[in-house]
Amino acid sequence: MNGRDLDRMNSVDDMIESPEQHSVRKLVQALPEESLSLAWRSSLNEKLLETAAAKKRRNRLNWILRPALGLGLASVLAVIVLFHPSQAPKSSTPDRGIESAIVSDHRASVLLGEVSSAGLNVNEVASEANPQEPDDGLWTDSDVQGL
Amino acid sequence: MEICIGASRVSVREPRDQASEASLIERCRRQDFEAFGQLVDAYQNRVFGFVRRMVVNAEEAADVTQDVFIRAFQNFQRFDGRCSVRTWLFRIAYHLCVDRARKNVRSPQEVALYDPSDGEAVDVADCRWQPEQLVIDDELMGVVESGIASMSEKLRSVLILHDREDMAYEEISQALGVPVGTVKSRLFLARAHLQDVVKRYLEAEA
Repeated sequence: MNGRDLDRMNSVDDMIESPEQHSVRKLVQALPEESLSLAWRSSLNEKLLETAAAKKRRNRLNWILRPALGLGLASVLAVIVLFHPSQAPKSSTPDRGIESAIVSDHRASVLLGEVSSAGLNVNEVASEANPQEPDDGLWTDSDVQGL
Repeated sequence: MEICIGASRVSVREPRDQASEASLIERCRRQDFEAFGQLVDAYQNRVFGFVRRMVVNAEEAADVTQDVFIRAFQNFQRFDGRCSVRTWLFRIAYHLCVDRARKNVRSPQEVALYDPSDGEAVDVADCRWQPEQLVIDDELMGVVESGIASMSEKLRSVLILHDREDMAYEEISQALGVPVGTVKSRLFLARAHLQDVVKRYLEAEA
């Protein structure tokens, strides 16, 4: 609250405490009090009893339903845990970067080994599959022997 | 204790003993029906007096007052004791009155409340202390009631809670959910409006 607010509050206090305002206050205080009938009171009692009974019913229902709900949930969980077949891991090797690359290379090499017959080694099969020209154009030992 | 003013009777209320009220509240929290009945007996007329002036129709006011106590009974376990039961009940009553007014699509109109140039005092004596000087008759009471009814709900609620129910500014602030400064300014405007209404009536009578 800053100074201006304080000043304003003080001025409002002063205004409220003025005799004119007090005279109005006395007038309002003199207003007759209105009272409620006994019929109103008994009607309220009935409604309160109904409310209390409804609340009691709801509480009783909750008292039964809550444990039942808990039991049901627990039994469902138990069934899932006990009887649901645990799934075997799809792959012994995790599908991750370098490990999977090594494994796949290994499998490819095994496959190549199986495909290649006796007399051919893996490198020869590979070279047969992808014949490569010597890229430097120089004579090799096999060329010399061929002459 | 009751005092006669004109044809009407005004009861002067004694504040409840705090210890007995605390034990009553504790029993009400435990949904003790009898204890809640005592609470109803203690506050029903005060709540009705407030609601009656906030709601146009008397029957509707009686219904709203019942709703106030039913809500209080249902939610007493939530009553945290930070304010008095009276403040709490009036808060429920105020919100229900506002809800009812919204439902009825009754749009309260703000009236021009105060003319600063018009600062004359209303010459109305306090009949409780000087009964021989002025008799506040039923007609004047009717004028006051209609003056209160012509205010907006915001002003009306503050005026009734402060001047009629003797609630402190802080209590009203808690009950209505507005700052104390707002309570004071609304009280000033409400009284100024009523002063104007009564003054016009007295001038017409003269």
